[in-house]
Amino acid sequence: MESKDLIIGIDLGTTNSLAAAVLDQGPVALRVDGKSPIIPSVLSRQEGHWAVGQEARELRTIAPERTVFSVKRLMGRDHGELAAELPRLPYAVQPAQRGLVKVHIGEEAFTPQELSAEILSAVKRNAEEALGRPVARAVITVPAYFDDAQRQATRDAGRIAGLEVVRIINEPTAAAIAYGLDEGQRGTVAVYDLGGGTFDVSVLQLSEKVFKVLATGGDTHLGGDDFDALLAAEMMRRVQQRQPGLSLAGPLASQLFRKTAELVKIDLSRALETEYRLDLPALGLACQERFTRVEFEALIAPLVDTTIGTCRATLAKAGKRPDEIADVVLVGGSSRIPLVRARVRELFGRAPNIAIDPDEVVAIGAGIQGHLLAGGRRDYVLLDVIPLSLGIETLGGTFSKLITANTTIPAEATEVFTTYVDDQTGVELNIYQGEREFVKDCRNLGRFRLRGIPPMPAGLPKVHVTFLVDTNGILTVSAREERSGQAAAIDVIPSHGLTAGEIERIMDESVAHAQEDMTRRQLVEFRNMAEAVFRGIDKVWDQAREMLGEAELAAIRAQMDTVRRQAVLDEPLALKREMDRLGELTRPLADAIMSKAALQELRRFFRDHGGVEMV
Amino acid sequence: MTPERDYFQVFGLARGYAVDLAELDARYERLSFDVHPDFFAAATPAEKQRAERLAAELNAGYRTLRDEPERAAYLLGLLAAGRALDTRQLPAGFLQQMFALQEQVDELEAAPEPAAKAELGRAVAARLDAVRAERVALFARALAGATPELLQALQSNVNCEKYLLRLQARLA
Repeated sequence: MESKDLIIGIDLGTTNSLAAAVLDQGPVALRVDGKSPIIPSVLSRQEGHWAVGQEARELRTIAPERTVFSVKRLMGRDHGELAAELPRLPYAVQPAQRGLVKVHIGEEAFTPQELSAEILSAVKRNAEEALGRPVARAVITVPAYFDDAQRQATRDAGRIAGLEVVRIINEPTAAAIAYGLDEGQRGTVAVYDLGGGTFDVSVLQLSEKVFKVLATGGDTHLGGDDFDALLAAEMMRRVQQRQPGLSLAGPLASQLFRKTAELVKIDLSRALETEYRLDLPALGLACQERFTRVEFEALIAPLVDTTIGTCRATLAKAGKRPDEIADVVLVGGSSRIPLVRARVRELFGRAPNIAIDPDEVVAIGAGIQGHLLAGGRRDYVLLDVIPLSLGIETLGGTFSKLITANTTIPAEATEVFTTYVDDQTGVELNIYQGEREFVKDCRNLGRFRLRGIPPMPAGLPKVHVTFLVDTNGILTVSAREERSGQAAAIDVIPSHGLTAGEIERIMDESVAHAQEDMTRRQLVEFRNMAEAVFRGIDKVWDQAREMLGEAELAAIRAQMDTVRRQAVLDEPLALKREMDRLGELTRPLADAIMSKAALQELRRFFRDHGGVEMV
Repeated sequence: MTPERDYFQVFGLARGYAVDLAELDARYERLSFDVHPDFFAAATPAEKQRAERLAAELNAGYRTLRDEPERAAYLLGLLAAGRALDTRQLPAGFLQQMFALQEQVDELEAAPEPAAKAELGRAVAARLDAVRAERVALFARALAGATPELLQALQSNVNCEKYLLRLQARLA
């Protein structure tokens, strides 16, 4: 498949992110040289640059206030909604315009969209390096229970990262695609997805050609992060109990406990008990402790029970009993916890399915969906649902639902509005998402202003407002006035999230960033070119030994080494220069074996990739 | 209610209260392959938007025709063709009967009695069956010639079902 047609799938996770794509050998997670495809969703601001991934992860305990993790939990949320969350974070989060928050690092401030864009850029670069070609389009996954604002924020992050976000799809749905197509799963299946920061459960009907979501439920603020926090708090409490004089305040200590908690949690999925050391000389902390699985399970049981309750409710919404579920698929790193598996098994009365790596399955499903969107196949149709009811505020602050939860998307509703005073030309709508009766208990998606209503006596205009929740689960609002004779189109101005202008500005501001991207892309191209040239030279080497002198051969070998050394540095132009020199040195060889097929291959290669001159 | 497009036409089904659900499912599947936005990823923004709206309409049509109460209300709207019907009218004596049933449900909620609850559930289900049987007959006549009396009788029938379904939900 041509690279311009390729649409990769990206799982943008709370703790880990990765990309997958459908290649000739089928759907695969994209990895560079056999390394893990996973890029930790962590970024650290170092001297005006971002370190992203594993490198940033290491910096969590060294530069906690400059290192940002769990950005996903901030996406599309305002400061008030994050109140419970923020004290736990070692970095500073402040309210910003229009319901946005910003992460403050030193003098700089960043929206969650920009931060997510940095992670997406790292995933994109990794994918490009793995594929050896540029990537422009992607399917990005979100928790099924993400609301409109959270989805829009994710799409905007993709745009800032220079990706065309062809589709936003739900994580459990992506997992179901992978199971449906890779494993040939059929019937009613439940997907239990417990990740780093979010929990989703979806019930789907998988038939030969239709993958239909029947119902979905979840919690966008419940995941492995919360288990770590509980465990860290308990570990801290124990230390404090034994050494009451010790002061464990501050981000350094909290991050050390969090990091250790994470390791202890992972250990306790394999072992019944584990020992760990806590060393922080600066605070006089040095101790060896142990934690048992039973103790850990007692801590997290209430949260795990919450997920099981959500499973029951979602089954009911889907009109299914647990025994009607043909298979239960486990997704997300936290689904490895034995207690989680036991509770899921208990509810459904069957052993959960883990045939596909729970860390990779979402990206793989997204990659398969990317393949479908790119026109690579059209043998199945995906029918997903809106996770939360969507509606408007009516008199007395009541929430009037226009599109109810679990309606198949795309879904549309039309409502007629009028004016209250003569010659009124604008109407304001407050749009909410949620399941409660009053808007104060629902999420405000923002205020929409209808402008350009033709001046008429009060109550006469009939403004038809259409609410369309598209295949991405994202709302668009359009309006027409029909009483004025001709159907006048009305401007709809949303007032939340990032505006198109702001996204552009962020993109403009990151010109340097774009430069870096370009550099990265060139590097990928030149590295691949170098490898192909090496292969070409190897092919003709036996002949070269007959045609060239020792000195010339040695020069070629030496220059190949130079290219190899240069290839691992991040300097595309220097690499290009060394490649050109190699071209010069191999020219006599090329001349000498002009007629050989191997040379033709070499020449074709140089022609296709331009740049390096060979006659 | 004045629908923009006739869902029966969208699915190529004869207009009527009885719908072959297997046939509806098969047509929904086939039409989804024609209009779903996932098959228009390479199209122009206008074409993409059109696919979103067509798919939204298809989904709404499927949901409406798949569900009996929704289908009844929808078909009645088509037959009424803009004529105003009294959406609150109920058959004589119906409300009194409902109040009596509601009282029993209230009592059961205050002091649960599984046997009594099951019996009440059966009574409500029987009423629902009767309402639906009456509806089939009314629709058959209304499709032959929709008189205002028949339409209003259907509207009352739809209203009765709503009451009974609410009671049933409380008993579930």
